[in-house]
Amino acid sequence: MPKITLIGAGSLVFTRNLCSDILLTPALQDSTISLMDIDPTRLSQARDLVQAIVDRRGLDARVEATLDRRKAVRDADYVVTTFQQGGLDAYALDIEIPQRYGVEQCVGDTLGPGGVFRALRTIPILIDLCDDMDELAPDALLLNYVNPMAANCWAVDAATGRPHVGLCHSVQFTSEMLAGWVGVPYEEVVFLCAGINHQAFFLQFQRNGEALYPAIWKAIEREEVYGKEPVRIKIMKHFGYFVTESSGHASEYAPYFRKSAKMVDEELVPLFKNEGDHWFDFGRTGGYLRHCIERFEESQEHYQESKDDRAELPTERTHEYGSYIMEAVETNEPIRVNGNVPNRGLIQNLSKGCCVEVPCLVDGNGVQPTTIGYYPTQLAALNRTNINVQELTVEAALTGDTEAVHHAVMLDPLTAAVCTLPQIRSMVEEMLEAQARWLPQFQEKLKVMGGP
Amino acid sequence: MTRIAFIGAGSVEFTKHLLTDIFKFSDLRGATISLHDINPERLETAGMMARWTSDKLGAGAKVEEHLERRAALDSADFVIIMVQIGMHEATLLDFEIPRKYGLKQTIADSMGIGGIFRGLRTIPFVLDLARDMRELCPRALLLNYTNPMSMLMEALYTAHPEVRSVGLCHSVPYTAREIASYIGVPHEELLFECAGINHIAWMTRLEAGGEDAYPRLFEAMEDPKIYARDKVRFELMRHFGYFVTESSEHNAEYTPYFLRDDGLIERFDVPVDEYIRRSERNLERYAETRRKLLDGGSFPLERSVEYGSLIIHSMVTGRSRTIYGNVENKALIGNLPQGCCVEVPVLADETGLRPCYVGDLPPQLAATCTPHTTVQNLTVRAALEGKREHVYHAAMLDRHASSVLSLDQIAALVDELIDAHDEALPEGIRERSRIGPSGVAENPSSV
Repeated sequence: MPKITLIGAGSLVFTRNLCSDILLTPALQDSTISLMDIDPTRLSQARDLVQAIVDRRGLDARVEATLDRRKAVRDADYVVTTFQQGGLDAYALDIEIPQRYGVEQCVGDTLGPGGVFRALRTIPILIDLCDDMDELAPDALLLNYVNPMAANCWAVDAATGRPHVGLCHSVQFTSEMLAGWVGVPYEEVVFLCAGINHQAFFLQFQRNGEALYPAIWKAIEREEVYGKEPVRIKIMKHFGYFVTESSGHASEYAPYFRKSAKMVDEELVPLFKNEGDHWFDFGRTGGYLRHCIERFEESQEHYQESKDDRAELPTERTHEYGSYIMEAVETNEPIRVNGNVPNRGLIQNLSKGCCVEVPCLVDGNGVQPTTIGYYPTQLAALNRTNINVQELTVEAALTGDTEAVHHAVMLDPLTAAVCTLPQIRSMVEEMLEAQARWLPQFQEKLKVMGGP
Repeated sequence: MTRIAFIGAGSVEFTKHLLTDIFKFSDLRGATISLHDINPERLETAGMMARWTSDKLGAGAKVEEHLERRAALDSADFVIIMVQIGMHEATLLDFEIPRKYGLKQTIADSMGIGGIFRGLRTIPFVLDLARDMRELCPRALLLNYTNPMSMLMEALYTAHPEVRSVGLCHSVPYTAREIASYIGVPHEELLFECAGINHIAWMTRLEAGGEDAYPRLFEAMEDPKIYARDKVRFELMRHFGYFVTESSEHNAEYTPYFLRDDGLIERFDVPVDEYIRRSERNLERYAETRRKLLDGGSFPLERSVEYGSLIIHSMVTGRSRTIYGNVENKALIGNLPQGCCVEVPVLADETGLRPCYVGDLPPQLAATCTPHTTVQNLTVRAALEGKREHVYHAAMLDRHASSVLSLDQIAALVDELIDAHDEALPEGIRERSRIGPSGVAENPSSV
């Protein structure tokens, strides 16, 4: 009877999906699910949603909800993090302030000034949580879903050394999309994917030993395919491999695609022809922020529906790895997932200790990362430009050194392509001030400096 | 259709185990089994056994027999090596010459003097095979079952990194089963984690029913009947804190503590010369099996614990499995040398084999492995570079040999073994070097 704790359970859509997955998994159906959030309203909504699944299925699972994180963590076997420190208010600042300086972020949750500040807000909470876990649930496995994945996991490893794995669904969704493009049933494709989170590459994509890359090369010439993923296809055309995170994301991890508002509107947006990708607003700046605001409203509607017992119960598990990992650990039935883990020589041409996304074996012994033999040099080189930013962000978050924040943003490939160094300095100082209430680690420094 | 080559298929008993495992998977039905041996009679026997097994299990396999190795390898998907270079006669030399010097051995197939010489005569064979594979089946996976495991694997991935290879041994699953029987739990319920080098891998985690099983194993050791079944390994556990793989008879010759003198041998029931007896039994058993096949006899068809069929099944169907494999240490075990051959958990699925990161072993366990990785590395260098000095040094750095013999005695022993094996060894090794006894060794008969 494992105890599964969700920190940030007020993320209603995610909580409902993950708990539905857990409750569809025989080995986990008698779990205790402990939901924790700092927002009492959303916490009670989350509890209602999960309890409704348990009741309607007639399961033995126990659902608890608490505002007290220590209570939620105590004796947990699995701790899943899904919180968003600062919520949409902070996220809006991540997009709006840089935009005034000409940094046009579409998503802004991974790299760039937005990604850096999201990490700075998140890392102190994660470290605190790990301290609680050391005390109250020393053997628990941490499954982190909070972005920016790489910087967050790197900080957890550097500061606490706790066993953890960072999880994202970009590998699963991308592989499914590619299978669709080449007309092969998803169950039949075989792939090897590695790199860093949101910028991992499909090194192999095949069926029955037959390489499917030639078919992908053909598919990307089709207009409807190109119109769906123009940025990722451009990256493949020039670097040779298909990348894991969507075109909106991919466009901001390199300096090539969105160097000005004009370039975004006139060159980038028109490339997107597919309605399916409306969620990031055809690559427009702030597209994902607007999507999140809409999604919050939808989640409230959904909550109302399920409260009235009108919502349909899912009958299949989602792509998320969470429930599969817990199942493999509980049953000792091995599976493979792509997880974010510390690079201990797994990818030899990326720095030691950085967070890499590689295939991991999961069984009764937990999450065991596997090694990647050969990783193409040009892909490692692209990753390194991102890893530089992550490394400085982690250093800033752990030491409270504001200079490291400046350096992180100065080395961001997109920011560096559009701002001068003095502009970056002003932008970072403005962000530090605007977000001060979520950045306790810098308070001493800011006071000494008399504020930015 | 999947094509599996068996190199050294005349090890009929072992061929039958692997084939039974393979044929029991319906997903592998209709596979082509391509058998090779240099001994025509053994090859014919293997062919009879393969057909009998396939018929009995309804596997519909296509069985081919090839005296010519290249034909057997052509377009194979998997190549399984199970050869014994020099056979029984070479094994006898590996035992008898060291014995004259006062160096007793039990198995002599993986480490120590016997392991070094078995390595030296087998490495040229596996390298030659790898060159053929590169040409005839470049995408195939080589599954090596031949000892000395670590030396052969290190030679393979050093000289032919382009050939995909893994070394397989049953010592990890057998050890887990033995532990389960000592503590009285069904083996399916024992959760274990194991890492180290082949034959000296350590159970770093043992759990039954969600609880640490080590206290129960320590308790079991106090039962004289259980202790008597595995004295050497229990002694190692008592003093080093962990249970080691393989067996008491093997481990007796991997350390200096059990085989040095008759008092120790008697106290720990060490079966000196054990492998000679096994090797003789294997010859008898082979003759018996052949007779039985010719008479239309029947054989048991139990699934074995060998990983071979599981790997093939995982790679063909994509089912993820945890197996233990011997692979190059590329930052897998932090406190063993980079490049040495380690035995670690490996994820097997349709993308092939991916070794898992282990981290550091407890330091005292790493220290039991590193002397042997040194000997292995020197032996591999001796074979690859054709340098006789490396052979002396390998032997001089072996834990057991150095605890019994002087430097001069070891040098003389090496010379005598090189002369005895002669043409079976790589050419450079047969040339005298400036290091060596040249008359300074004590007379063996006076030892």
